[in-house]
Amino acid sequence: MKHLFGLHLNILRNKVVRLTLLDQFKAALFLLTGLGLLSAIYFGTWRLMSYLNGVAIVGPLLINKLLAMVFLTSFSMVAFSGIITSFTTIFSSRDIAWLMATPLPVRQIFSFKAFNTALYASWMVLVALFPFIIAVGQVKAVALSFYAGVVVLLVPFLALASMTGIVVSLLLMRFFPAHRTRDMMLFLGIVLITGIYILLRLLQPERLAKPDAMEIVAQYLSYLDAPTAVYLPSWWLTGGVYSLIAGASRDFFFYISLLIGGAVAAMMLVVALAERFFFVGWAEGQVYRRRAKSVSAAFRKREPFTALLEKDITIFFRDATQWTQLLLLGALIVVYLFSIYKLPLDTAYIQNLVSFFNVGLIGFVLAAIALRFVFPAVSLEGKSMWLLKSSPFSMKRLLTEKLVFGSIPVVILGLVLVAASGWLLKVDRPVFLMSLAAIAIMAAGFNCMAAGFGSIFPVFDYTSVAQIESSPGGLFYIVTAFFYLGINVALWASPLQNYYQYKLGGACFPWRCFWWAGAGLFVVNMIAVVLPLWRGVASLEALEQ
Amino acid sequence: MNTIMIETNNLTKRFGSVTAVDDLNLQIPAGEIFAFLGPNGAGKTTTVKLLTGLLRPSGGSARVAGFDIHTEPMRAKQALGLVSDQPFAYPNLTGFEFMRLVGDIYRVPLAEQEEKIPELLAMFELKDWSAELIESYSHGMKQKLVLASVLLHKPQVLILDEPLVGLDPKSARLVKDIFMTLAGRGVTIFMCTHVLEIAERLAHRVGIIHRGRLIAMETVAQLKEKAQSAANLEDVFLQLTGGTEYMELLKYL
Repeated sequence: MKHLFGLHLNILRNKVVRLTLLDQFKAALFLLTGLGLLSAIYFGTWRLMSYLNGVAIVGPLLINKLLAMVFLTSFSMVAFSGIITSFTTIFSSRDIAWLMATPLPVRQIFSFKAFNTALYASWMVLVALFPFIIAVGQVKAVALSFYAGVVVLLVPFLALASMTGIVVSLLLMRFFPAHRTRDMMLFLGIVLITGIYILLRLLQPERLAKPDAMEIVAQYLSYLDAPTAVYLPSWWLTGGVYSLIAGASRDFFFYISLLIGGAVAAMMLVVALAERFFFVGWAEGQVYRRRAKSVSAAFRKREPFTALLEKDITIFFRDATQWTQLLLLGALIVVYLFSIYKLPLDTAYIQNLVSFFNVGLIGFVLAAIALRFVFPAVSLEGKSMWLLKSSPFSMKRLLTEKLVFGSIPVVILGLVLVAASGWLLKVDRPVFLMSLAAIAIMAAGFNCMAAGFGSIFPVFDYTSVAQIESSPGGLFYIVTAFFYLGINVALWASPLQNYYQYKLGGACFPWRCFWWAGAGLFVVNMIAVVLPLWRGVASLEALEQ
Repeated sequence: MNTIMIETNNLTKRFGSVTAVDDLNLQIPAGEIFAFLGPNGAGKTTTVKLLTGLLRPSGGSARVAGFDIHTEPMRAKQALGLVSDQPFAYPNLTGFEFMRLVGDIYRVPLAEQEEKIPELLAMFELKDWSAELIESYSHGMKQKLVLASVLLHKPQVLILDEPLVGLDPKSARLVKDIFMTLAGRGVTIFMCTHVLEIAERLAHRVGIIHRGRLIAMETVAQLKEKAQSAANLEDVFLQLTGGTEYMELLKYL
């Protein structure tokens, strides 16, 4: 087993030692962006916690509830990430065939791969939890031992979450090997949608915002005081962290015992299942012959551009890892509109405020969706890129094709969300039109930025789309996109505010301010559209295969 | 036979401190089969990539069918066909769809595609597999598919990196016959290979590259003459590239 871990350490060392100047720059960029995000989490949490901590009676209960929510979300994310990651690390990893041919026991190979999966699935959540925990500790003015205690709690918690994911993927691979990933991903999509629904129901976030909707204050307090999903490890972690804050060592030992016991039991279950299912699931997944349901592109005239676009659409609907993302998109629309529907819109002020933030939120969603659909478009050419690079098909046309292909879901989603949420919020016609314009312009900006950055930072050697999205280039895109979103929202705020002032009795519409905002928007959006595409084409042309 | 179809002038490619291709000068006329030989890591694949526009040269230039591959890439690429050493085609397309895609990208007229695609698939014994996804093809089948696709647009220059690797004997024989026929029709074939017997039998001229530098470029007969004790191309190759040092080490096996 130690040979296997040594192997990975060697791979890591070799990579670090051989970093080129460009790689070092990318790594530095990744590090800086990451630190920026972590600082934002820290300051956001610190401000919120400081405020809540100052609120009498309800404050500590709200903090408790917030911790439960964060840990429940973390658990779900790591468990789901465990399912997705294990497909690539455990079942379709390129070195599995070689490892299987060595005299290493299958159990050892699996354990090594399971350990890798747990690391890959949980490192990001772990890193994001650190600033959160530090902020909580500072607000609660705890001793240093608190942090050590939290680390002791987090290790079995994350192990338990990732093992849960591995168990699900093991069972899926055992019972659906013939139908391969398509069925598994379909199943997972349904699991995720159900999971999101359950999560929402468990959290009941709208109740936090509407204490007056409950009959009496005591009912609100009892809701806050009630544990969230008591049988899930996230509550054990919440209990453990809270007992550390309160200095209740007996409670702490109770919760840490539950977590460690649960993690050990989950690991034993994983190993037991692996001994029965791993080899069969892996071996049967290797043998297949898949016939296409319909032969597309039968003899009819097509321009090279159309041929490539049709190729991308065909591949999208044949690759279950791609088309199942549409399920996620559907779930996202439902959850978003459900949240809007549940919002308290008692006064015109709140309604207007929500209408404004709605534009920003939809922009936020679109930026993330462009990361999913547009950013990976060039990278998805993968090892077939040699064909296009050696053919008389220009890189400018390639990028245009990728932009057109990837933009379809982003534009549809943006329009559906803005239209449906506008209807639910009962916004005025001018505000609705303004929101529509803002979203349409921002959708174009996000798409061009995602396509451009995706070409500047392509990842051709990938095992899953998630790997492309989470690359340093993906992170750089998302941070830039959020920055762009912030500027856009700030510029749109002015005409919108003017409109409301005018509507509430202002003398006349301040056109001057309106034009200034328009000029600002024009400049910002031209930069967002032109610059990334221009650099993207140059980067693709200079690309060496 | 006089039109120069592949021409390199002091073509050089450096990767950091390593010079993969060093001052390469080639002139290959129409209708010639040119075998490009060399030990592993000598610079063969880098040369193929430079000739097809997959890499940019650090110095010098390369022309294909009279067009500079870097200043007039579209015209040069329209004239050439590439079979890379790793024939990676879109796994989620069928063989037929892949052929159609290549046909459309190279703007092969529809009527010609309609006639040639079934013919080529049948010739490479892929007809029964044409509706299967490429992900379920073996390495050899993928190689045959890429070879079939490259013949679709009637390239004037064929650049092949290990074209026979993974092919069964029947397919290998077919490919060799195709190369001979195409060369007879004036198509220039630039072929990297480790199978010296094929180079010896097919090539009009042989170029040997070693550590990035072209160390020999002649007909097989001329090469044998120069290396006096050589019985075949393998002996010539080993003499030129220094491949006999291992004999002493064999006793340790």
